[in-house]
Amino acid sequence: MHEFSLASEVVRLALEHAEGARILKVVLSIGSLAGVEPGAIAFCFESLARDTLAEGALLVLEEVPGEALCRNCGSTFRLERLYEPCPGCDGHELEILRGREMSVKEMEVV
Amino acid sequence: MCSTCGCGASHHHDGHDHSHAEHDHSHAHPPLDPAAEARRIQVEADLLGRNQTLAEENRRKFESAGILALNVMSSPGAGKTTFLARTIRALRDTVAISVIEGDQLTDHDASRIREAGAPAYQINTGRGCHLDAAMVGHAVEHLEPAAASLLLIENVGNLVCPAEFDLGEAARIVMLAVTEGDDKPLKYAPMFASADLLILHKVDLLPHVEFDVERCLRYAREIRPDLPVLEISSTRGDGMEPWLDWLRQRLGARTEAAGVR
Repeated sequence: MHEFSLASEVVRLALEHAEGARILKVVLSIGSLAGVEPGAIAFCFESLARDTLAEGALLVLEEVPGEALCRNCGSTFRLERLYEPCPGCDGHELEILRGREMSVKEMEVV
Repeated sequence: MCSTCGCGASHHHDGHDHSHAEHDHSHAHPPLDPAAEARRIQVEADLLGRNQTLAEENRRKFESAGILALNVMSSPGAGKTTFLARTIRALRDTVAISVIEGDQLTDHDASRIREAGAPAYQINTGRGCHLDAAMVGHAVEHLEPAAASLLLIENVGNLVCPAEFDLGEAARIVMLAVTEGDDKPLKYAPMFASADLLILHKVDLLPHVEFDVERCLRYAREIRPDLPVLEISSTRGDGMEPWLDWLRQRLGARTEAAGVR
């Protein structure tokens, strides 16, 4: 349940960037390989935002699909799960290009 | 500005009502003005960014003082504390050692470490499932590890969450007991992928359990092809010498780089 820590950081960052404005919506970019459970982070966010300017804000999770480069054959491909082999050559030495990010992308405030 | 929630100083309850359990004053957030237009703010801030910054601060402090900090991770019950206690007993006459213990509750582990002869600081994470860089930074202020010393950090027993949080350590040690499944490296791949050393623990029990060492190591190296492995029993003492050599070598390199002794 490290979603609790992540959600605390979402609330902290949102309040910092809102500079006293009321927060209506927070958009997160979450990589599909980041191991984040969307339901858990939404639940934690809702309870942590209570009694703050982010209370009741809509939390939107935008999923970033995984992409990897195979160091063996040089191909890039869509990676559905971490540590699955390269579909071209079965190699395991992959560089993850996208899909591990976890960030607050943007917000709507009033 | 209210330090608890960061809201403004205007205090009325027109917009909505909420409790003030943690405040000694009354206030509320301004009501939504229907005429006010929503604005969009670009943030682009990494959720692990703050932890990363604090971890780098810890790392700089450790490096400049010649402190070798090791992050020891495993599932609960793999034998981390027994292993650390044995390590302390073997090295305490030649190396200064301090220990940070992470558990959800109790200070049982810190007591066992103190009995073995090293100062220990117990962190209770409560709801938390892992240590983070801020907790370690705070613990270090209490422990005040000596220059040119060994700082052992026993993370919360968990093969999932601790993998995501850099503490500022010099190396990550992942322990897997042979009483667990030999396919753990595949099931908890991110943990094994981030390891610098795998300790296969409780190897004295191998004759009594169905654990295929070869298969386990094959899986581990699918995840991390060059992962070094040590096979250890902390109760019987198997494999302690190679482990102590591993430690002494890194400790020597660390203190030499920092120019401290």
